[in-house]
Amino acid sequence: MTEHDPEFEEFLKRRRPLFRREEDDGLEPPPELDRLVLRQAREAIRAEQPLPMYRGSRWAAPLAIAATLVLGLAVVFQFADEQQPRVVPEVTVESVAQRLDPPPPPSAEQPAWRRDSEAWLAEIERLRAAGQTARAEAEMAEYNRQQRAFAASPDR
Amino acid sequence: MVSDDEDAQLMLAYGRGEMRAFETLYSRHRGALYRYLIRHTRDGEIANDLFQEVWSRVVVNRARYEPRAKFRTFLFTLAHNCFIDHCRRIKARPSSMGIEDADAADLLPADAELRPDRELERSEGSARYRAALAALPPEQRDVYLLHEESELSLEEIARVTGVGAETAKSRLRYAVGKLKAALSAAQESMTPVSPR
Repeated sequence: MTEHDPEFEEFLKRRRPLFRREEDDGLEPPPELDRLVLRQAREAIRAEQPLPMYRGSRWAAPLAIAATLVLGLAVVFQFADEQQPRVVPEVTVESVAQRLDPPPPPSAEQPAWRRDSEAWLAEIERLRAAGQTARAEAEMAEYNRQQRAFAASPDR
Repeated sequence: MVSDDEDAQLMLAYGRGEMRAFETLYSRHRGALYRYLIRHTRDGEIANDLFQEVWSRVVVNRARYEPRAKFRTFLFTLAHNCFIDHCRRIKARPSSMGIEDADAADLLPADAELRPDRELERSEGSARYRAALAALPPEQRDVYLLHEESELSLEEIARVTGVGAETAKSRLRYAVGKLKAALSAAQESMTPVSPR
């Protein structure tokens, strides 16, 4: 088959099929195969893409810087404060006694006759005599309360 | 025929991560590649597997691709190699057979087993064409299908198949002669393309 074959030479030059069937034109890969290949190609380039970096809001960076500065300054001031010499109060017998015996709680300003039982009772009688019965009864109730409190105190 | 330079650029673009470039490339070559494979294997499932395998190799090689040849040459070289690998897997190596006197019937499945083109066996002409194609020695069928579907030149087909240009031309000449002889009785049912 080495002789010159014009038909074959034309076939080569024209690059046209000699036996093309009409059915061949519709012969294509099935759609599911198309999807498979395209998905594989897509996943391949997706896999090599770098992970998306976190992008915060535009005020996140300044806020973070400000918070860092505040925290840093707080630490610096705290450290500087600790470096200053502390004034140690002189320890005396009186100062210890003061700490052991705390001052009595401030009491309301009381009339002088409440500081003595007999004077308190005398005042109550005077109020009753003056017709100030309600006030006399109130003073009597307070006198009784304080007496009970005094009797129930542990120091007794 | 689309510009092969453009195909190469599309392949390079896909290598850079542009999926749209691959979609364009795929749409251009999917039909020809599929016809090449299904005519070769005459089995829809095998053709599908090989088709997927070829494109998988394209995807895997996207970063290493260098446009030293036409993209079609690259694509059909992959397809040819995939088919050869398939033949080796089924222990039917085309390269182990004689070029001109190989008995293709020993390698190819019987007509009754030919599934993918059943729908195409609607005419006697189609059946004769398929039978004649199947009867070709694999090397001749390979060159013929590459010529028909890939639109590569003889030199490019020779490069794809790993033979010299004269060998490729000889195979193609034998293939065309055998097909013409086999189909001469059924010309009326075919769509003959007479050379101008």
